[in-house]
This record gives sequence, structure tokens and C-alpha cells, in this order.
Amino acid sequence: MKKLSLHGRGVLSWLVPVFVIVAWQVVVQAGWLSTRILPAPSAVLAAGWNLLASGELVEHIGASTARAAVGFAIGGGIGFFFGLINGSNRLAEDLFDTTLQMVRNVPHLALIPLVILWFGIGEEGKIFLVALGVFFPIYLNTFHGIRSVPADLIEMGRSYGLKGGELFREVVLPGALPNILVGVRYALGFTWLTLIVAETISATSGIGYMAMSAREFLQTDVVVLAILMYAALGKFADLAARALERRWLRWNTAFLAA
Amino acid sequence: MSNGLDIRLADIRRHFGARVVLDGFTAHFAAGEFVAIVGRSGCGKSTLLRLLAGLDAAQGGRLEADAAPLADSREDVRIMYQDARLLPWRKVAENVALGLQGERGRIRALALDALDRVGLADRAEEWPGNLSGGQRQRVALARALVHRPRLLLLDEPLGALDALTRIEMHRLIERVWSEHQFTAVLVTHDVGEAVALADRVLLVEDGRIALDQRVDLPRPRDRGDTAFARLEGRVLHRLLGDGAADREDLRAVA
Repeated sequence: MKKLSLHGRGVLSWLVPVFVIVAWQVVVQAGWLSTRILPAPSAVLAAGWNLLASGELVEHIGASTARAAVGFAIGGGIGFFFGLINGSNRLAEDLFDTTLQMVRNVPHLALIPLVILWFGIGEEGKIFLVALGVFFPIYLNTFHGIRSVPADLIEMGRSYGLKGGELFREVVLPGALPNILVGVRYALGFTWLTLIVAETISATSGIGYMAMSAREFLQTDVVVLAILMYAALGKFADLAARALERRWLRWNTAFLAA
Repeated sequence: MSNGLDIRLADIRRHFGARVVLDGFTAHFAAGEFVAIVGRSGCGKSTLLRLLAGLDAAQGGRLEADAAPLADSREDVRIMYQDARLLPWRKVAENVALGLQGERGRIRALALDALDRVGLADRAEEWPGNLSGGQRQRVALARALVHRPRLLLLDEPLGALDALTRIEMHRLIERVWSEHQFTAVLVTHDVGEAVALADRVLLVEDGRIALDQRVDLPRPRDRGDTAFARLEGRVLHRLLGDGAADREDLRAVA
């Protein structure tokens, strides 16, 4: 059998998705599938275009992205902080880790009723939930990352005169970085998942709100559009995290080989 | 005049729980001397090196450098480990420059100069992950040399290398030692390596010096030489425990 070129393989891998979309279009257009259940891809595209033209889509995406970013920054920042101190200090670990592990067992989405009672349907509640969802993957991976920095390298750094901040910057943080970035990717996944749930339950803006209000008017095309938007934003965040990995982990031979 | 530290160890004790590793260890390493310490695993030779490096503390006795506590000379002591222990996330030149203080350009020049001495100037911008085992150890040697150590500690640094690379490294270490004139303490389980490099071979048994063998062969030493083989044989026999047991009888006369 003849081997395909790299270009040929790239084309090949898109064959199935393109076929599915074409088939979907045909099935809906032929009337075999009600547009109430699933609108045609062209209808979703048109809905997207209309919302884009009216500025509504950008507004909702902006609202969702802002929540994601703020929640991620708060939860990630706190998680990183606790991961750092608990990973590098036994006393801090003994003091905080058990408590954090207990809290971790509470599914953060189960707190939604409580969060609505606390914050109403304002921004704070959604940001709180995102921060909570982001906290644990960042915390656990930072903690684990710091613990997995080889003791040999730390000893070497010390014997070469590195202390405190310098030892942290040269040895501990770069050594923990691969794990921290794994945490970042998990956390990004949790960010969007949390937002999807939080925005569909209580919101006055954002993609989830757009989907829920479209549902009331039976605009299935907008609902599908919202789902696709979430997928696209999640994918985009993941690509950004991978770009960071490529840039910061260049030294890692595993990345060189990939 | 040698640049090396004059090291005196007096009555050093170190035990881990009930296990006594060093029990009244006493030795003198003259400035600029190359001393090899051989012994079976667990004889205390690595512990001794860690004490000299300040990575571990003795429970009794004195460690002195130039008649002052060795702890005051930390900046003059550098160690090469069994594994190179390079930071994988720093380029080769940055690894060599680790711990150097001062202006960037000057640090870089020093690092490149040290790399040049070990023959790796052209690999300065590589990641350590792309180097062979022998090259990594050469980078580790450059990293130690850049600090102009007056005491260089070598903790079986060639143990993991293949035979040919080891011989190359022997030559390199011998060369930089004669250029820089530091005091060198090499811990090894390879008696041939000890005889090839050292002015004195100390055989350590049960935390004490069991044999202090001077090696007066001209450098660079030829392993095929009969005098070399005889010395190597003597240390090896003592190490393996055959022959007479009395230590005084075996203490070689220089």
C-alpha cells in the first residue's frame, strides 16, 4: 500500500467531519429531520451571522469570557498560592491540606442553590463557582509539581550557592511547571463546564443565557449555536494552554519529539 | 604555590541511628593534592565527601581548611556528583553559569570560557537533554570549574560512563587539576581510576583509613605499566581482604 503524504493524511482526517455536516444538511433539508429537533448547519450559520451583525453575539461571548477570566484568575491564583506553600512547607501542608482535600470532595456544582441564595443571580455567584472549580486542579497539580522536583537538583542548587528566591526561580518553579501546566489545562476545562451550568441556571447575559432565552422562543438554531460557541471557546483556551506549554517546556525532550 | 585548600579532618564521627559510619576519621589532604578514596559500598566514603561538601554535618570532630573551619570556605568548595545534575530547563551555558553573581555579560563570558576548557564551547546553546552522558559530566565539570574551586570533590562522577568516555574524562580531570591546582578528593569504587588519577589512594574500611597508598608514578599514567599494575593490585588485594590484616604492615612507605 502506498503511504500518504503528510498533507494527504491531513485531508483524510477531515473527511468524516465534512461528511457528517453535509449529511446533516441533506437530512434536514430533505425534511427527514424536523428543524425543531435539529436545525440545518446553514440555519445555525445564519443565526450566528444575524446575532453577530446585531452585536448580541459579541456581547454574550464577552460576558462569558470575562466571567471565565476573572474566575480563573481568582481560583487559579489562590490554588497556585496554596499549592506553593503546601508543596514547599510541611507545616503548611499539615495545617491546610486535609481541609482542602475534604472540601474537594464536594462537587462544586452542587453548591449552586446555596450560591444563588448567597449572591442572587449576579456576577459574583458565577465567578465564585468558576473560581472554586478552577482552584482544585491548579492546587493539586502545583502541589504535586513542587513535590516532584528532584531533591538531587535542589541539593545541587544549594551547594552552588542558590538560596530562597533564586533557588525557587531557577530550580523549584521550572521543575514544577510541567505539572502546573497540566493543572491549567484541566482548570480551563472546568472553567467552561462550570460556566455552562451556572449561566443556564441564572444569568442575564452570556452564552448560557443566550441559549436559555432562545429555548423559550424555540429558536433551536441559536441553542445549537450556543453549544458550538462553548465548544469553540473551550478549544481556544486549550490551544492557548498548549501554546504556553510549547513555549515554556521547550527543554522537555518529550515536547521536542512531539 | 598551590591554589588548593589544605584540609585537615580530625576525629570525625558520623552515625545514622545505631549505624556508625565514620568513627574517629582523621586525615590530612595537602594543598593541591589529588586524593582518591576507595572502599566497599557503605564504608563511609560518600558520607565523608558529603561532610566535606557541607551537605551533611558531623556529630563530632573538626573539619578544617587552611587552619580555619571548613564551613568558612563554602565558596571555595565545589562538588561533582555521580549524575551530572544539570537543570534540564536551562541551556548548557546557563547551567554552567548557575550561582555566579555579577554582570550578565561577564558571567556569560566566564561560562563560555569554562565550557571551552572542557571542549564543549560549541554546545553552549543546547538543552542538557540533547547531550550524551559524558558530555553532561563535562558540563558539570565546567560548572564546578567556573567557580574557581580550591577544593573539588568528585563523588564517583564517572561511574555511569562507558570505558572509553571514562578514560577521556580521566585525562580531562587530570589536565584541569594541573592547570587550576586545586585540592581534589575523588571517591570511587574503581581502584584503577584511583591509581590513574591520585597522588594518594586512601582505602577506607569501617569508617577508618585502612591503607594510605602514595602513588608516585609520572603523569600521564600508563595503565599498562607494571608499576601501575603492581600498585593497583596491592590496593585491590587489601580491598578484597586477602593478605595480612595488620594495617601498619600495609601502610606503604612513600
